[in-house]
Amino acid sequence: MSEQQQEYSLKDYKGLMPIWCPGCGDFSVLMALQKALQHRQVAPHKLAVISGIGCSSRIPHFINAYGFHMVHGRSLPSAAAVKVVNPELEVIAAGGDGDGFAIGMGHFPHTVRRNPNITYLVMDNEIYGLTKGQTSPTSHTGLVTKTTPWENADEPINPIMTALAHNCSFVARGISTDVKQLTQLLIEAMEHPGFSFVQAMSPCLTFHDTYEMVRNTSKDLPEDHDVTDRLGAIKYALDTDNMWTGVFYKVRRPTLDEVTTRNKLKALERNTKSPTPLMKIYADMGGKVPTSTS
Amino acid sequence: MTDKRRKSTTIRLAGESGEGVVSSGQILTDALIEQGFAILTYQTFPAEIKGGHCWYQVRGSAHPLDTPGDRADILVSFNQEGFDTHIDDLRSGGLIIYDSDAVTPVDVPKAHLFPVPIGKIAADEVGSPRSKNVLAAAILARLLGLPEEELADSVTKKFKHKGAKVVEVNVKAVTAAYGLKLPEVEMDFALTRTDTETAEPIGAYAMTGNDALVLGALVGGCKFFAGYPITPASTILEAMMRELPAWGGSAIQAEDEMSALTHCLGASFAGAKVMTATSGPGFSLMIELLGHASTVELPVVIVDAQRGGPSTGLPTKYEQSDLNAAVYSGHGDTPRIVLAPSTVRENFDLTVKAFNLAEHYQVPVILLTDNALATRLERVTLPDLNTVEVEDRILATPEPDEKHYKRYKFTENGVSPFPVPGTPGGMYVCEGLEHDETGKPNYTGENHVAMNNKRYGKLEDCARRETGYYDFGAVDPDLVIVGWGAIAGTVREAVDRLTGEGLHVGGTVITMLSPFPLAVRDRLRKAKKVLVVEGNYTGQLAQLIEAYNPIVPEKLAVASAGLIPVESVEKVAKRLLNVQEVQVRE
Ligand SMILES: Cc1ncc(C[n+]2csc(CCOP(=O)(O)OP(=O)(O)O)c2C)c(N)n1
Ligand code: SF4
Ligand SMILES: [Mg+2]
Repeated sequence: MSEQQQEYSLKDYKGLMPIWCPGCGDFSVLMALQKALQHRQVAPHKLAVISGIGCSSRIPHFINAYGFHMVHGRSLPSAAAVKVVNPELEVIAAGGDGDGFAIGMGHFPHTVRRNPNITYLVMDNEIYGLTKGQTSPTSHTGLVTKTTPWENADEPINPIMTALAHNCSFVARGISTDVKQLTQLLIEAMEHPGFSFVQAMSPCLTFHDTYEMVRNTSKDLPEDHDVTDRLGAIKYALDTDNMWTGVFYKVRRPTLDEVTTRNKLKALERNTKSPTPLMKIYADMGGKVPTSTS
Repeated sequence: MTDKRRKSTTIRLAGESGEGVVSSGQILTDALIEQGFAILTYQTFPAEIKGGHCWYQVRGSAHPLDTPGDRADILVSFNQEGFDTHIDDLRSGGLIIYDSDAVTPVDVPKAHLFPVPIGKIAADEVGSPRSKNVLAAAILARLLGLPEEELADSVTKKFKHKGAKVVEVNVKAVTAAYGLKLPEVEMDFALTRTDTETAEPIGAYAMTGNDALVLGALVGGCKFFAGYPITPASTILEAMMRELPAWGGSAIQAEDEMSALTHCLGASFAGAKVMTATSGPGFSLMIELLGHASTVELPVVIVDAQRGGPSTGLPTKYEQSDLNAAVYSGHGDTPRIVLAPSTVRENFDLTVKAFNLAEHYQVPVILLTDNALATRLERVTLPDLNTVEVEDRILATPEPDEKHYKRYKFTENGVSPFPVPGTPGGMYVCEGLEHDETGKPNYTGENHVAMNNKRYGKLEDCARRETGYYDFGAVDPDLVIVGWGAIAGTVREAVDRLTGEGLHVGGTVITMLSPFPLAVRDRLRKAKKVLVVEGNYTGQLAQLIEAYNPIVPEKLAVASAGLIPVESVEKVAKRLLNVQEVQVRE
């Protein structure tokens, strides 16, 4: 499609003015997401953006879409359910490293397992931004923050590894300083049927400036990396010297909405032959039994 | 056999879990159902999977029943513990059947003993030690007056799927039971159908409270369910996983209760009617999200099937101690509707209502049931399921190119039309931060006041629309006995007996705990005395009543891992009415 034929321009995806600090990495992540949406020509009214709480989690307000600002850490289960109820919607879950890998960590592997056809975008600044600079689950060992005044002794979470451990359907990492690559990754993530996890390194200039670290250690995954090779992907995920960017891994698994739709068809078909116990009572009492054609 | 007008027989079976106590009770219950008798059961399992003491009570009658009965007319004990633990609950003049090889009876002056070598007969005479349960059930059926052929039929039906051999053995057990010599007793345990013209109808379906609740949800239009296993709500999750796809919906087993409710909120945001079900511990985990649902104005039905608390508490026991949590829990001012069904039929009706109110007002509705109600089997009459009134959310109809759609528009009753994602022009952010009409965060005092008014305005409207209680007994009573939940049946039976003795006693069952029903105030204010009966330690309903009425009710609040006996309610009522107790009813 040429530019003129496109129904939606970048402007159509803009919501309220972002209220992030000047220089915050999240501006670029937002830009990449809007570009990816525009590339895919997602109708704004068919887009749902669901987040938790944090600076990054404010993102639903900055996009013209149906937004849902959940409580802290709970974007994933609600995003998955939105897709189950209405598979026609493009569903994006978004948030920060604290939101996703501390308070919301319980939901991450389970959402990976269930494989809803949604995209999960984590803006990872390795710090708690909104609460003003406490250590986060992805803060590196040794980091001094307001809550680790001597040092952070903990091993950081490795989100890419966690996703790979549970056979996540699509795993990628981008950086806010490379909007072009991040846009491409988000396009691929949305196009991939299944749960697509994108970790976007997105520095917090105010409380933990990781721009230099990102610049110095990030590296595109080699051209010959086989995205269907899970063990190969794990090798790159475990590399502590380089922060690899690009698509780590891709696998086609039945998605949650495919499974729920399949179950529905199976059950509706059985309604006429051998109905479930309560459907039988319903039919006895004059209820109109739904069938696969009704 | 408490009452001449409504004859009934109460049977209790007790023993080690896994010994056939429950299956034996169920075989008898099924036979009674097939023979058209009313039944009402009460069961308590050990919280452990293997071993532990358990008992099962079933009351049968030709008339509708309100409670599973206080004392047993017949007690069956498979082991010594069963004998020792329950002998005091046997009615004077009642019968105790026990396995004579497993139990050494203590001297029981008021009871008749019926020693039967149950285990031995099952093993030697019938040829299968496992037929113990059918043997015991058949002895009971015989005492209740069921003919041998009818029981044999019922057993054949029940075991048909296990093959001819199993059927044969179990029919043999029935024959053995009917061949036993019965002891002489004065009491007549047989259930007879007399005065058919005056008999009230007995429901067509025997259902547990949880099954009725699930049927209510399905008829009410539920299209999405998520839950995490917990006693006694697990059977709701299991039923939903099985049923919902057949009704065109989807169910998910979540990784915890926060995930369960979060899934539901996502699905509700997408436009579906949703429900989750849990018990106290899970409900506690949901409370941040409950407040969220309230402030983002998403319809959701949350079932709390209460059990003994706090903490892990008494996982398999009846208690009604989550009222405060349901009515008050959460930070901030959090409007919610709380409904409390009091019978299995009401589990159906109020679940439909819960969906209707949730959708109409766009609020979370908590449905408070309890272990006794969830697990008990009762005969119910269902309404014509085609004509059950089902309400839908008021949907928004924005202009396709509308900007900054007012999702939280101020309206007369506080309800704003709902834009379903996918609708052009309705885009907004469903926002848990305090927000303005468009969903944009707004922390001004003026806006917060207006939004609280809007959200609480919906509850005020609901209080005007809903009755939220029902009455029975004397019209102008000296004493009103108030109950809620499973204990309501106890109140009804107590009021029946007391009015039968000519006392001016009335009963009030509160079925809506938030918003507090307005008309209850009049009834309570006019009564000379009020007694609140409930299964918790602190008297949570009594406190709620006190908060809304210029009265201080008397209370009979007992948390003793079981239903309060009707006898206890009668006694307290009489003390309050200063009636000399003539004799203890036996
Ligand atoms: C239940 C709960 N606990 C704590 C908070 C406070 N809180 C808000 S955001 C946040 C951390 C945000 O960090 P992150 O997810 O990394 O987002 P960022 O601000 O860095 O983008 C915390 C702890 C909260 N809102 N809710
Ligand atoms: S505090 Fe950090 S993360 Fe938050 S807006 Fe400012 S720069 Fe961004
Ligand atoms: Mg962060």
